[in-house]
Order: sequence, then C-alpha cells, then structure tokens
Amino acid sequence: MKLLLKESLKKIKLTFGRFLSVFFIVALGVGFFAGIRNTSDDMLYTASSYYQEQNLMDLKLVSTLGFTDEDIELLKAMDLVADVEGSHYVDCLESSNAIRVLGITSNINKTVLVDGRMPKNNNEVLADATVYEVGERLTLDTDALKETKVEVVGTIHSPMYIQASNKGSTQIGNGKISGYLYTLEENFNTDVYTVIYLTGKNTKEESAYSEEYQSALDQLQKEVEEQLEQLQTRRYNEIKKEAEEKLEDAKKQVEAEQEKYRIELKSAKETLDSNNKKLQELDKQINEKEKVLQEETKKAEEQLQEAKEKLEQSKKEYQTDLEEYNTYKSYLDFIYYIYNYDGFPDFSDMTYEEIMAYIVTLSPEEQEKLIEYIKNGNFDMDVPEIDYTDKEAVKKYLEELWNSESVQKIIDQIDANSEESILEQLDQIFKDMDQELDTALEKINAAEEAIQKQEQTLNEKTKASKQMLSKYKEELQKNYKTLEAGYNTYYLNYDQFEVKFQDAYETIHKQAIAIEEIEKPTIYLFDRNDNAGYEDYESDTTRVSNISKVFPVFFLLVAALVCLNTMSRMVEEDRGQMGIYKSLGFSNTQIVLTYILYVAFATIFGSIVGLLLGCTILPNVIYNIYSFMYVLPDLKLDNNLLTMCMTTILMFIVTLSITLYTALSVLKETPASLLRPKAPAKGKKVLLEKIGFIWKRLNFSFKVTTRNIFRYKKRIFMTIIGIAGCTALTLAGLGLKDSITGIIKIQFNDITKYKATLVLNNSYQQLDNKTEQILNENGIIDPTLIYQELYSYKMDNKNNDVYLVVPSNTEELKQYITLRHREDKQEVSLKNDGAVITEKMALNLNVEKGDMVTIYNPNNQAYKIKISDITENYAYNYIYLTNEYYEEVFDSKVQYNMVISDLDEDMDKDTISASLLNTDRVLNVSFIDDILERFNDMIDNLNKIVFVILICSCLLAFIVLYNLTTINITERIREIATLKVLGFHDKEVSLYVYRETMILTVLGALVGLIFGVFLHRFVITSAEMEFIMFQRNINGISYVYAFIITMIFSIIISIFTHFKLKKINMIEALKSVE
Amino acid sequence: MSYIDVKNLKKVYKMGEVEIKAVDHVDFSINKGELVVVLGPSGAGKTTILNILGGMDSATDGHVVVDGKHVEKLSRKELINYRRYDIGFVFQFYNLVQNLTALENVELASQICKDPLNADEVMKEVGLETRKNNFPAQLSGGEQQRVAIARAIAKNPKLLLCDEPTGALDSKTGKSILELLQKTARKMGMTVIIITHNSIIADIADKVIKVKNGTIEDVIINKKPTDAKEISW
Repeated sequence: MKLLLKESLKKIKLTFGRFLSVFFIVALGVGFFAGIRNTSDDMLYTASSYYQEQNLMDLKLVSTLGFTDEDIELLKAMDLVADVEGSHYVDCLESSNAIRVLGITSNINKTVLVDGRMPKNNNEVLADATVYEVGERLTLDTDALKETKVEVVGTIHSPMYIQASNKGSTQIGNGKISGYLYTLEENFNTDVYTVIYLTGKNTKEESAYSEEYQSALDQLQKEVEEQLEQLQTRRYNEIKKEAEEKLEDAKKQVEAEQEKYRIELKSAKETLDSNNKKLQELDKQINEKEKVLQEETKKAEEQLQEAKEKLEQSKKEYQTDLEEYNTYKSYLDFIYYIYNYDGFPDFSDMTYEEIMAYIVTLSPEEQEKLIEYIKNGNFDMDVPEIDYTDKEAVKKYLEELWNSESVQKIIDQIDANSEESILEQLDQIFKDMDQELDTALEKINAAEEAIQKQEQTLNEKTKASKQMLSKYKEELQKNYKTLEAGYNTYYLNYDQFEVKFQDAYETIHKQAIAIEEIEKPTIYLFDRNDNAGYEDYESDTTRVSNISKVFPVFFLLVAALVCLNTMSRMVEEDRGQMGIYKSLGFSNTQIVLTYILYVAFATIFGSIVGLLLGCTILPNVIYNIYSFMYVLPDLKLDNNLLTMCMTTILMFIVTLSITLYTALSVLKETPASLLRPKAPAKGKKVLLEKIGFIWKRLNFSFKVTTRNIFRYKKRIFMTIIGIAGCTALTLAGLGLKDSITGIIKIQFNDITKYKATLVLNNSYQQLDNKTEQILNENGIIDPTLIYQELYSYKMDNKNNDVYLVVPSNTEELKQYITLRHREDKQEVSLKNDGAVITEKMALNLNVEKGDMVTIYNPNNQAYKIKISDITENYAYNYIYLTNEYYEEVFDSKVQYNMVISDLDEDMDKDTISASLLNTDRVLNVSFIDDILERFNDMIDNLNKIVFVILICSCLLAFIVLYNLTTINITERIREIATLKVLGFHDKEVSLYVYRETMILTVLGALVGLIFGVFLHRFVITSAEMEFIMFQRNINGISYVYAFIITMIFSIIISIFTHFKLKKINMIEALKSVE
Repeated sequence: MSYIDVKNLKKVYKMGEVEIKAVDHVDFSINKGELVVVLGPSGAGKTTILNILGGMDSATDGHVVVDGKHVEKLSRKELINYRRYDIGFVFQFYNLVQNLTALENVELASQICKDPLNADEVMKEVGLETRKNNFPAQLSGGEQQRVAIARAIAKNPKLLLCDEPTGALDSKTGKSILELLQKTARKMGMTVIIITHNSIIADIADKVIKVKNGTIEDVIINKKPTDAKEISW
C-alpha cells in the first residue's frame, strides 16, 4: 500500500502538469459551482445575522393616536412576543432635503456606530453614514423636536436602512427620504410613542427571508393582529379618559376659579348687602325713631287732642250743661210761668198729670189764652201753629212739651213728697246747677291752660326730633350712595365674570364635543418589508440564485468532461507501466488503486482548493458588487457543507468512475500486450479524399490537418463539446446582458412614454381646469387621467402584484403607453369586451387570449377578467381596461385617481415634485427617470454578475482549451519532435498542431452558439422574476462577441502552445520509447 | 579542410549540481560522400555526437564545421534551417507520422526543402513504389524504415544521419536497410553517418569512429568497405 502511495505520488510528480490540469479544472468547476450556489445563501445569511445582531424588528406598529407604556406592557405580555420597544420618528426638512429623524432605541433596531460617538444630549445626533459626516451641523425644520439645531457626533448604519439609494418615501419635500438621523428619545416633544417595534420569540432563531421565518412571522403577526382590537379600544379609552380628565380638570379649574370669583363676588356682595342691611336697619331705626317720634308726637298730640277734646267735651258738656241749664232755666221759667198762670188754679200742689188733665178740660179759648201765654212767654220754644180748637192737637202739643226731656229732667228732680214746694225745689236745683256750672267753667279754664302748655312742649320736642332725624337721614343717604357705587362695581365685575366663564365653558364644551368626536385609533401593522431595501435585497439574492441554477451546473459538466478526457488519456498513456506492474504480479486492484489515488488527490485537493477559493472569492466578489447598493456588514460565509461535500463527491465519482472504467478496460489486456506499445491510431483516409478534385487542390498542410482532425474521433468530440460549452456560456452571459439591458430601452423608450406619474388627492371624473392649470404651472405637460390600483393574482399560491389601469381616454393612453404584440409589433387596442394584460403575467399564468384570469383587490376580493389581448411589456405587470369593461366587471364607476404625463424638461425634478406636493392636489409624484435609475442600478448589478460569470466562463474556456491542447501535444509529442527534426520552423510546427485546433475551435464555437441560444433561453426563464420579463433574443453582435472571445482564447492558447512547442526537446521526445 | 570537421567537441549535461560529461575532446573529420559508422557501446556518447552534428543539440565547447558551416555557432533559427536543408535523419523507431501515407510522409519532408528530390522517385528508389499509398501502420518495420530513409533522402540533404537504423529490425531486414544506405552514399554521393553498437555493421563503412566513454577511442579508415549484402549478424 505504501508502495502504491509512493507510486501515485511519483506519478503526480512526473505528470505534474496533467495533475495540475485535473486539479485546476476540478477546483474551477467545484469552486464555481459551490461558490455561486453559496453566494445567495451567504448574502442572505449575512443580512440575516446582521438583522439578528442588531435585533431588527419583526413587526412595527404605527397608530393614528400613538402608543403608551401600557400598550407596550400589553404587547410584552403576549406569548410569542420577545422584545417590545416604543419609539418616535418624524419626517422633516433639512435644507430642502426630506429626512427622517428617529429615536435611539436601546434594544431593537440597534445601529452600528461607524464613526464618532453616541449623542449625550438633545443637540447631538447620530446620522446616516452614507450621507453625513461627523461634525456636520444641521437645522431641522420641525416642531416635533425640542432641539432642532443639531450636530452630528456619530455616523451609523441602521439595519432598517440597508439600501443606500432608497430610504423610503415621505409626504414632505420631494417625497423621497434622503437620509436619516437618530436623536435621543427625550428630544421628541410628545410623550406618546409614535411607533412600536417588536420582535418575536419564534422568529428570533429563524434566518431572515427564509420560509420558516415567514411562517413564524405569520404566526406572530396573527397573534399581534388579534391583540390590535384590544389595543385600539384601550388606547381609545385612555385617550378619551385622559381628555375627559383633562377636560374635567379644566372644568374644575374653571369652576374653582369661578367659585373663587363667585366667593369673592359673594363676599363683596355680602359686605355690600350687610352694609346695605345695616344702612337699611339704620334707615329703619331712623324710620322707627321717626315713627316713634311721630307716634310719640301723635300720642302727645292725641293726648293733647284728647285733652283738647276732653276740654272741648268739658266745654261742650259745660255748654250742654249751660244749655241744659239754660233750657232747664227756660223750662224752669216756663214751668214757673205756667205755674204762675193766673187763670189757673193754684197748681202748686198739683201734679203734672193733674195739670194736663186740667188743661185738656180747658175751653179752647182758655187753651188759646194759655198757649198765647206760653207764646208770650218768649221762651226759646217752637210753638207750632196749632188749631186750638182742636183740643186733641193742643193736648198733644202740650204733652210733647211736657214730656220733653228737659222738662222731665227737671220734673224728675222734683220730689213730690218733699216738704219743700216744687218751686222751692226748683230754686234749689237752679242754685246747684249754677254752682256746678261755675266749677265746670273753672275746671275748663285750668284744663285749657294745661293744654296750651302741653302743646307748646310737644311742639318744641317734635322740632328737635325732626332736626336730629334729618341729620341722620342725610348721613344715611351718603352711605347709600357709597353702597350704590359698591354695587355698581360689583355688578360690573359680575358681568365680566359671567362673560369670562361663559367663554371658558364654551371652550370646555367644544373640547367635550371634540372628545366625543375622537375616533378609535387605526393601528397599522408593518413587517420588515416596509423597511426600504429589505425586499429588494431578497430579490437581488434571488436573482443571483436564479442565475446560479444554470451556469454552475454547466460549468461542473464541462469540468467533469475535461477531467474525464484527461484521466482517460492518462490511463491510455500509462498502459506500458501498467503492463510492467501486471507482469510483476501486482493485482488489478492494486494497479487501479494508484490511479484512483492519483485522481482522488487531484479531485479532493482540487475540490478543497476550489471550495476554499470559490466559496470565499465568488460570494465576496458578487457581494461587493451589491455592496455598492446596500449598506450591510462584510460578507459572512454560510457555507453549506452539504452542497460542498456533495459537489466534491459528485466530482470525485465522475472522475473516479471514468478512471476506473478506462483503467479496468486497459487492464483486461494481457501484460504482454500491454507491454507492447499500443499501436498508434491508424491513419485513415477521410471521406474528402474520395472527392479527388477538391483533395488535390488542397494544400499539403490542410490535407494533413483534415486527416488529423478525423484521426481521433473522441478528441474531436471532446474538443468541440468543451469549446462549445465555453462559447455557449459566454453567449448566454452576453445574451443575458442583452436581454436585461434591452428591456430598459424598449420598456422606457417604446412602451412607457410618459415621464411622470402623479397620485391625486381626490378622485376625478374629469380633470377640472383649475387642477389642470395647477399641473401645467408645475411642469406637468399633457396630463392624462387614469385609474390605477394595485391588484394581485395568484401564481403557485403566491400573491403577485399587478396594476389595474383604466384610462379616462383610450386615445390619450396611446400617447403614453404603447400596447402592441411583441413578435410582430402590431398595435393592440382596448376593447369593451375584455382586458389587455401584459405578456409576463400571461406567461406566469399560462393563459392566452380569450381565457379568464382571476385577480384580487387589496381586500382579497376576487374578480374574473377576460383577456382580450396580450401586450408587450417587460417591467411590472399591468391589466388595461376600458371604463365600460371596468364597470361591467367591478360594477362601479371608475374613480380616476392618477395622472400620467410628460414633463417640462427645463424644470428641475425636485422642484416639480416639491411644488406639486405643496399644491394639496397631489399625494405623490414619481418620475420615470427615477424608476429607470433604479432599474439601471439593478441591471448594472446583474450585469456585473454576468460579467463575473463571463470571466469564469473565459477562465473555463481557457482551461479547457489549454487542457485539450496540452493533451494534443503530449499525445503527439513524437510526431512534433519528428517535425522539428525534419527542420520545420517553430511557426510551421505550431501551425501544424494548431491548425486543427483552430478548426475544431471554430466548429466548437459554432456549435456553442447554437447551445448558447438554448442555454440563454433557459437562464433567462429561470433568472426572471415574476414582474420582469427579459428580452427573449440575443443581439447579433453578442454572437460575434461570443465567437470572437472564444477565438481570442484560442489564439492566446495557441501562443502559449507555440512557446510550449518551441521548448519541446526533440531528443528527449524521440528517445522515450513507448 | 574536410567536409565535416569536429574539433575538441565537448558536451556537458548539467543535472543540478552534477556535471556529466557526455563527450569530451572529440576530434574527427569526415569527407564528402563518405559512409561513416560511429561505433560504441550504449552510453558512450555516440548519439550526443550525432545530435550535435545534426543540429539537434548544442555543443558545450569545440568546433563542429559542416561544409564550412560552424554548426556550434548557429542560432536556433539557423539550426532549424540547417536541419531543414542540410540534414536528413533516420531513427531506430522510424518516427513516421502515422496519419500520413508513406508517400505523404516523404512529401512532408520534401515540401519544406529548397531542392527536394521527387517523392515518387525516392519511393521507387527505396523500393516501395507499390506501397507508397499505405499508412505506416500497414507497413512492416523494414518498410517503415525505408519510408523513413526515403523521407530523409527526399530532402536532398548534405548529411544523412542514422541513429541505430537497424536496431529495431531483424538482421535480414536490417541488412537490406544498410544496403539502401550504402547505395545512397555511393550512388548519390551523400555523406552518411550511421550510429551503431553493432561492430559488424562497421565493416560497411568507409570510416569507423570508435567512441568509448565520451571520447574517440579510434578512427579506422576502411580502404575496402564490405558490401552490405555480405555482412551478417
């Protein structure tokens, strides 16, 4: 065994060139295969581990009402949620650039400090390292920040922004975020969080972009979505409560203030009132006093009056008494008179009745005489005209007279029984009466005097009181005036107070209404795809991996072929050696083992070297191409050992089996026959020789070449295949470049002819003049109103985007969008019975004209659309409909929401964009040039990768050609040496050998061009993404290039060969005996 | 001055540190039209001398003058021309181009010469008139060697160098080859040098140069060379 190993090593040493050629081709094939294959994985792994290291959020929540710590607690409590962090961001202008300012988070979306240090206070920020430098001073035009004049103290990379050219869009400025800043969270004015970043427990270990990640994310998202309702309600209640509390506070404050005012007013009023009361009391007292005084006066007066009255009474009484006395006296006189009547008997003792009775008995004359007498008496008595003849009337009169009170009174006093006579008695009575009257008069006079005195006192007293009262009243009046002024001030204040608090209450009321009007917050849930560039990166890696599906396999095949060729040659050449070993008694296995060891060394070491180089260089080269576009850390290799081992093993199996096969088939021969040199391949006449006239005309060297070409059929085959493979790879690479580059020109020159797309603020039925004028003023030329909405269609259970476009005017659309068949360029017109869809979509869905397709709106509602035609298109997918057909399908009127237009070339795009966004008619502006630029970027990268592949193809072509030529030379070294000995010039020798290689190269290249077309087609279809259709044809010049490149290599090889041939030592070559 | 003059020829091969003297102090001269046999055992340096003489190898020291041409001073390109126009080689293993017919092998050589002999005639000369359209593989060893000789002669060289021309042949065939060579030298007046370890062959030569250990052991002038037909081994 040791001997075998030694023998193998010796063989390697002896045929080191061959060993190297196997080694290199294996290295190249395996390295390229594994390298390219691994590249997309490495790229994804790099991004993924970057995300993991920086703890990139899985989900982002943005609410119309912001979030609070309680939201965060709620989210934290969820099963699948790992980290939750609230933060802020705001878009603002910084010297006319729209930038985004974010809060520095502590745990999620950690940034990488590139230069400088972390900010310490509000006027220091971290800034996008792709845009800013440490030390720059910026002024931010926003009021959401406490500190707007900031200095960049550190530059960073953020895992949220991995694309240098695309940092997302915004509503301000020209609509594009040009860079980002990170400031301290406390620099934000609001206390609610603008955004919540969230990572999942289940997504943590999954690598980004993987299906596992997606399904974990779906789970997480589902869980979070279920929580959203609660979050919304909670936040709504909170906000409402907060507002209500605030309102309540405000109300309370107002009320308290009002109360205070009220109390103040009240106390003022009270003071006033009490003063008033006091005054009134005083007033009352004065009044009372007055009253008392009056009463007293009155009383005194009354008393006086009473006294007066009494006096009067007394006087009256006296008068009466006097009168009575007088009456009595008259009556007395009368009575005396009567009693003294002569004609009468002595009446002295007669009673009244007796007198009456007597009078009645008197004759009328006597009666008349009596009456006459009475009349003559001159008594103060009314004596009526009496008919004295009528006794009765006289009697009555007399009776009346008699019976009159006065008379009676006197009479009553007469005591008939007294001893004294009536007259005496009467005298006495008169005497008494006189006396009585005198006393009364005296009394009256005294009383009158007292009264007079009393009256005087009273008058004096009343006067003094009145004087005092009026003085009091005067003072009171004065106080009243002061009080009134106080009241006036009070009322003025009160009115003011009323107005003031009415306003306050109105404000409160308005606020209360506003609170009622608060709507439940809408919470938007975003995943990482919302991060600019996140998705692009994946599609870029997909592009790499799509390309890696075809090219490397082809590479590996060619490499295997070369290996096979080389090894079989080697075994053939070694037949003598094998014969010796065999004759020395070595077993077949032992002999074969030396070759197996040889090939194992070459393959395994080649593989290892290839893997080491391929899996590091290629991913790095391709990654570097992308690193111009992406801001990501250095590439991390995620080498898939399985792929690597599989490749090596596959390669080993191929080389091993071919070695085994040739070795064993050689070893079937007996040692003797092996020891004899193998009869060289017999010379043979070729078919051409039978066509004498051509053959004879051929130059001798051509004859030789022609014959040589057909001498080794296997070699022809190998050479042609090898070269064809390389040409095919080259052509496919160039073709890929054509297909990719070509679409841009066609898409943006021939198909899409508008220069700008505007999303309008409102939907229109027709552009009004005002709007059109505004657009025109801002550089928009010939605007055409369209409806465009993003729909999706399902392909392999995946949702793919498609834009639904309805022009407001089909004719105007033609000006901006060309609808035509790809093959014959015939115009396609929009009809009312169906929609025109783009070719790539038709290919994706495998549908044709007349078929139905199902599309879904953003709410996943399905609509069936009939395809009326298919149009040429390369970027994105569109469905074009007339408005009639739209109405038929969607059963609603078209709401035109976008404008496509031409641009005023003289105006600056940023100006156009900024001024349009300022008009409040336009929500978003995008320019075809920007899209074109992005496409160009993408295609540039793709082209660079194609370039890498091209280089590798060339390297392969080089190795293949070199290998074939080397084999050719070793195989024919004696022949070449012979030629040299014969005196062939170096050039002649080289030509002799190379002429056939050239012919084979040309043949191979031609075959390769045919292969290439198919390979290209295959590569195109696998490298294409669902929204991009590459051009199907290869440019004519690429065929020429592919051919020329192969030829150039062939020539380079021939130069190498030339020197190699020159160096051939004739003597050595001829000495060796086969 | 002889037609060929070799003086003080020295050839040293360097194998790393070791210097191997293949030939040293070799002096001889050959006249025009002579048939010379260089005789010596294996490894004596015969082939080295021949190679230097034929412009296939360069001398380390000394002079090699052929027809007044200082071969040792020729450039690479001049050496090619020297081989092309002045030298004809015949090898032990024929070294025919397998893919060419016998005639074509001859033509291969003649087409590059200034004044070649007619290929057909040469074929006739070497007795392969009927076999000229056959491929080498279809010919016997002797026939192949005849083709090789024909190829060398057709160039009409000044010097015909044969390295063990009979080495791979049986004595009968070898004899006929020697006959052909002797005939060529005699008839065409060509200077022929044959290398062999077989001393019997030396009898046919006009001059025998004996080589041993890289030096000339002896130079024997054979006044009456034996006819090739008459020798046997």
